[in-house]
Amino acid sequence: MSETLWFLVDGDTGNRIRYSELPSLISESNVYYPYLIAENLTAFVFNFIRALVANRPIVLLDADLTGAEVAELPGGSNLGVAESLPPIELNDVDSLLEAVANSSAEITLFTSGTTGIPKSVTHTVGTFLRSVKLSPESRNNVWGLTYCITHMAGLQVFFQALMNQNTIVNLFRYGRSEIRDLLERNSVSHLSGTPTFYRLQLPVITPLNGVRQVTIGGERSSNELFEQLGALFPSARFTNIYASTEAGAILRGQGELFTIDPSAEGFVRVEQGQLLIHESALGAGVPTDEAGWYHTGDVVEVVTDEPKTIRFVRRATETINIGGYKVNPHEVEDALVSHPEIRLAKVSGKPNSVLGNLLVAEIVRVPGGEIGEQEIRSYLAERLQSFKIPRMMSFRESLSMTKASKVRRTS
Amino acid sequence: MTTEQLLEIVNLVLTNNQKTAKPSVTPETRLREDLGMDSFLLAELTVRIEQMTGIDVFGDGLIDTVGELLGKLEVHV
Repeated sequence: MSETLWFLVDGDTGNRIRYSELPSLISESNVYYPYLIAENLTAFVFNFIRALVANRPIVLLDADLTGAEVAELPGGSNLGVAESLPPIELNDVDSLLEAVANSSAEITLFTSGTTGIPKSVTHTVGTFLRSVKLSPESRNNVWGLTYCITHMAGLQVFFQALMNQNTIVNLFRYGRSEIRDLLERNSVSHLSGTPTFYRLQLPVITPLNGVRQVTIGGERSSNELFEQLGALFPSARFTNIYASTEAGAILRGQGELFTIDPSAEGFVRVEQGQLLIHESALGAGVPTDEAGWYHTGDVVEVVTDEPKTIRFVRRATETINIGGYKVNPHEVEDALVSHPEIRLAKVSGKPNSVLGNLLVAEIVRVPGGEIGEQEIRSYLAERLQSFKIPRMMSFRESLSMTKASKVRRTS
Repeated sequence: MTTEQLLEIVNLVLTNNQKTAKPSVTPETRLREDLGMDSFLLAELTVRIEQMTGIDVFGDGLIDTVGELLGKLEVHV
């Protein structure tokens, strides 16, 4: 049966790869890249699987990272350096999946951090497999990949699909009409994406009846969005998911409410209105308190006690969620004031109907400085990923300084 | 807001994001398919329109065309 199963449909490259071809495609190369900015999804996936089956460490880097950002990362100077592997022997798909499931490879991702410098978190496949559901009924699922594959949510889709030998259809960065076409042509049955992704598929043109499961995560969503999506995906079951780079997928819910199952109470709890996750569920490198709890910075309200359900209220940290991408304002402020004509900068999130928040900057130029918005954008584009660039800038004579908001200045 | 004023804002958003300005738009022009606007551009577009008019054109959900967008602004006037 696996002879006919597609593994990956990647419109960026025109590649369609079958599961039956995968073992030989993985074995045919005896090098891999621990630090790779992959040109496309296919290249990423091959390199990633090679690292997993060979039990070698791999660092996952976004495709749009700038040279300046990579240089700041620990180990960034190893970018694009190949390492040789012992011969990989994979007889068939089952042996490949077994090697992936038993992999001891360290998988490192980056978070926006709290100081402005991205922090690394290192996981093993166990983090992802913990929430993978294996079942015979899942065998014919077809997954639409709406996320960047180097992020936690994209990896979760990747492992869920791979372990069930489901097809992965690349939808990341495609426009609405292309997505409709890809969904229908490939009979995509399962989607996982941010509220921003789903907002972009609205308003309803015609219902997409083939989609049976819609998973939403990465940002706060609203009951209004759920209602509108019910009309777009009339055959779908809806699930909300709470996941983080630090811990992977932790909670599931319906609508705005998430349930903390009794089985999860050992590693998830609410203290003084904040969601905490125990180190037993975390990747390596995540800061915890003395008792081993990571303070997520997510402020929650407990709605019911039996079973324990919660609703997310806001972030207690300064991190700004831009359409599911987490931005540390200090990283952007530092990049702004590194320009010789900018004296002070303050970056914040402004509520937005498309992205949840829009990144905006208030800027004080040096005396006589004349730099304008477009020039600043170009300057930042050389230094920061696109989602970290403020989309509205205002020029001020001065910025108010308060205890809560430390303004970045030229040093 | 006239179509010309809207074109000016659309082109500002396009050029701000390394895209080519359009010589014209019609009511049938689609924001996503024809102008190539993604979530970040649409987010910027509505904020710039809101600055001028006080109206968040996507406040009730996204819309498809320039004509629908101008309609949103007229209804509020």
